[in-house]
Amino acid sequence: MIRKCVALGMTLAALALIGFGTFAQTADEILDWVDAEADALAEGSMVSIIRFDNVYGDGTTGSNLFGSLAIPDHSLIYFIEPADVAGTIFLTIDSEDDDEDARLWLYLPFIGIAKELVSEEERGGSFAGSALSYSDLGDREGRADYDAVLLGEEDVIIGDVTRTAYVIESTAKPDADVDNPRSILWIDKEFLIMLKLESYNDLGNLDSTMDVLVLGEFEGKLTAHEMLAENHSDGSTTTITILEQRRPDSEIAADTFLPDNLSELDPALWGFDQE
Amino acid sequence: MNRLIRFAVDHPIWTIAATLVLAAGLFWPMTNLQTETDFREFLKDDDPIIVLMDEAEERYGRSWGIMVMLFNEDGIFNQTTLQKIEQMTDQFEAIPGIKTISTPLNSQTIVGTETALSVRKAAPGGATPETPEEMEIFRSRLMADENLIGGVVSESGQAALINLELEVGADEYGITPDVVAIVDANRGNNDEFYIYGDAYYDSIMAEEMEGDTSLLFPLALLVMVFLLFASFMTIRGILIPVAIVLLSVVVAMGAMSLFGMPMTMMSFIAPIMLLAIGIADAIHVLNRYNEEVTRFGDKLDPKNGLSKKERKAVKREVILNTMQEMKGPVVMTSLTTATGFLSLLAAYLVPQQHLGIVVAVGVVAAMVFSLVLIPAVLALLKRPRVRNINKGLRPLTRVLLAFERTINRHRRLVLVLAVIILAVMAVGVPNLRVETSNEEFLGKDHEAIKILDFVGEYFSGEVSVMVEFDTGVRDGLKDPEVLNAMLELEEFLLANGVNKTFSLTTLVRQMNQKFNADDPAFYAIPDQRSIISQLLLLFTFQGGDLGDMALGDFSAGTVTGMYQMGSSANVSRLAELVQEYLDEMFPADSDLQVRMVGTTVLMNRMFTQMTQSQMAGLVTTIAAVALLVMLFMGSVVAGLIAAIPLILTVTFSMGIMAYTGQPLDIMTLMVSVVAVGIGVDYSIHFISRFRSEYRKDQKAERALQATIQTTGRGITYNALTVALGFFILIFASFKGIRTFGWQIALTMGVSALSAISIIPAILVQWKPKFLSRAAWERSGASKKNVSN
Repeated sequence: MIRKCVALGMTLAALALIGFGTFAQTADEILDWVDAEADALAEGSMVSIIRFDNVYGDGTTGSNLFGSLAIPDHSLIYFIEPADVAGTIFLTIDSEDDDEDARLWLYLPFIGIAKELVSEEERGGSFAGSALSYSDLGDREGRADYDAVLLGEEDVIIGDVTRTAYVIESTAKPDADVDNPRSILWIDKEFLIMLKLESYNDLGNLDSTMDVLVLGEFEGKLTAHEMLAENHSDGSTTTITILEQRRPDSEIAADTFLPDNLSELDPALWGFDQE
Repeated sequence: MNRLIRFAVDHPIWTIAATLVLAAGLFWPMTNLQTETDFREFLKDDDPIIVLMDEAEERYGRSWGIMVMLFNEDGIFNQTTLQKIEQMTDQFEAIPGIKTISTPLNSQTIVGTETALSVRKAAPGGATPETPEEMEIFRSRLMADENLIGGVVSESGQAALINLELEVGADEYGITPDVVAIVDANRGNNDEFYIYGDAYYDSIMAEEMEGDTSLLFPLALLVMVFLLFASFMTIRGILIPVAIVLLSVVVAMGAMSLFGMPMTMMSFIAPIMLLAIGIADAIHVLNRYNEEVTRFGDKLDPKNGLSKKERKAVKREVILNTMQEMKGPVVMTSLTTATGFLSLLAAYLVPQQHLGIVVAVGVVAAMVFSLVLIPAVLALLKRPRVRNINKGLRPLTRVLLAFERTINRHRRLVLVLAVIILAVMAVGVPNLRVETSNEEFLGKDHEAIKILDFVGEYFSGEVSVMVEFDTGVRDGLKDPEVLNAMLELEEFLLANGVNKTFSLTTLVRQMNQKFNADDPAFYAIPDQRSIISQLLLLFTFQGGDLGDMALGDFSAGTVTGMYQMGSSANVSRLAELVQEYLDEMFPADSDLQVRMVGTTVLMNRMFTQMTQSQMAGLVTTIAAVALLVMLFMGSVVAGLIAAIPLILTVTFSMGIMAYTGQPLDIMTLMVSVVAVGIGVDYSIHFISRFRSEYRKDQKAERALQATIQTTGRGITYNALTVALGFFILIFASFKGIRTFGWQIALTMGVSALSAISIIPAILVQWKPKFLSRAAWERSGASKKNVSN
């Protein structure tokens, strides 16, 4: 679950990519470029503030406000709202070895120390009650389990803008152990960013969707500013709004991401002390 | 009606063809009848409890799944059994539509230390432990987790549960056979398996209903054939009534399908009931026809010198006279019987209402066929071979005449005895208990009951009591006071027969302990809201699903208790206890709104409403049929006299149940109504004939003798037919149906006996004025019409 949060950050970064307009030959080539741009964006420090507006399956609603700090292989999510969980920090440190899982810590302010969260395997469920799931986040780590095929091109309307997109179908390989055996992605043809994602369960029913609602710019490149994630299994939705995304004046110190130092994180320093 | 009858006699081929076309038209929908065994569907959609349950399900969701349970006397912690679970898990995973599989091996456990929180499977990798040491670690890890005991493993360690959660939109009915096949392939090695799921339950019920129908319907038909042969001794005497009831069954069941009524555990006996009830009209009509043929026998004999055309005219008159005489009683008895069954519309359970409608439709169909099809068929057939009943008395007639003499001589004693019996039985009625549990209906040896018993014994119970706490504000449940109130309720439930409870309180206490290095001292609700919030956040980060424990915004949540039903009295007891507790602890004007929702309150309401509605329906039925008799006979006194045997029969039926300790259940609750619907026929037939005979010479004793010899014999045969028809139900798979069968059989006997003893005793003793008056229809005028 924690990794989903990290994946969210990575996805948001990936969605901020501006593609390089190269004519793509295959689905794999397109996805390779998306991954390469995500990696490029992850270079250097990044500060973000993101809001989740949830409509739960039972019809009730809730909001979360997060601040995010990231440097290569390190990221943390700081809970700003709701007030009773403010100060909770979620830390991820990626392993240098690609075969090893990232290490995760959770800092709960009431106890004042960070605890490492150890899990034998990837867990299911939603992220903090939101409609987002691991696969919804568009994490590309699982690409090895899928065969991707370029189906063609389609127009996608976002607000009052019409974008032309590559339509790529990903189908799970026969022995792959995946939640969604089939998904369809719409990748902007010009900028190579994901505009839309549909994931299907093993019965072929629509399981979840992700749609970009508002496009914007970051560092002169096209990026998604608002997205809607829908979990069709339980009817929940989450609107993700990127309120702020910036490079800090100086690189974020690596020791900010030490578990023992989480209690000393100054939210005001990063603009996380807002209401 | 007279025109229709004349048309049938004059155009028999057309009449028979039209009937066959109607039957063929309704046969096709009959073959498409759906089966419904979901108990929720037994109540109306707008029932307050269903509305409440729907609302709760909309808020908290409804779990869909299939449970496979395994029992091993020596415990599940051995390699053979666990490998079997592991292997079955792999096999289940291959079934499309199964979302997740929880087993003792792969269930997640959380371990807290000073520096870390570890989420791991109870058995590493979900694989069977290979060494004794690994097995012991697995066992201790599993048995130490409060959430898993009673969930995936029994407290005794002898039972394991494999929970198959289905994808949204998955076809449980399509998946279940695959699950059953896997389970069947893994039986053996001292491992017993049980499957628990709606589709599996439905399949058992549907299979048994189908089996019962296949066995009981032909059996009932065979009994009818035997009785008809004993009564008429002719092929036509067998085939005509059988054809009438079979056509009635087709019409009733076809109409059932067209009305969108599914076949349920109650209504599947409708065809058998119709066989027993619907045959009566045909028997009475044929009996009367035989009487008429005997009277005009000479004229119909080819040797008597009449031409073929003349003999045909005589036969036409014989048939029309028969129908003229029988039209009134057949219509009257059919309508009163149909009214009796239609009174089931007042019943609380929808299947009871459906049963009432279907049987009423069948009874009316039998009436129409008896009045139209029988004369048409008789018009085509040759003169029957009829034994003259006046040539020597048959054994039954001799018994009935002896009975008549006794009644005539000791009529005051008969009435006194009836009053005494009524009083004795009435005294017992208040002791009647109502028991509408599954076990009472299905019987304790039924497979479904064994499964429920297993769930109850090893996995907390099969029935849930759910209490909703609604704070009305976002995050209201995170208030320590609210959580402590929920915890107190859970303690109350556990002290009153509930085996296990589920709510946020357990989660919060567990996460508190885990985050504090598994220190048992922290297994408590923290006293700060922020700590609770962070623990719940931690829970969701660990992949936890709140399920029905709380709404997404934590404004409301539930406490759910699981227990073994035992009896409906137990459910009602718990429901009342919990309601009293809630009334005392959470006044209606407090900010925290607490109410019971879910199965227990549903069942409790059902038990109460069923009894009340059935009793009200019974009183209404007796009043309605008495009123109908009053209208048909044009006499209030006649209506009241007709109601007396009904009251005695109903009281006797209930009294016998009370004295023998037999409870009222969803089927036996209908016995009285059915008894009234059918039993009133005997009163009507007897009073009608008695009045007809009495009006000839105003001599009550002679009228009684004539009535007993004719109608009395008909009533006896009819009661025997109905009783035997229902008695066949003792071979049914469901205990409730078996009890219903023998009780109706007994009740019919009492009803017939009352009609031929109490009614004549009253009529001869007091000779009410209505006996001398004509009914609404003047018989002389009618005769004239027929002759025309």
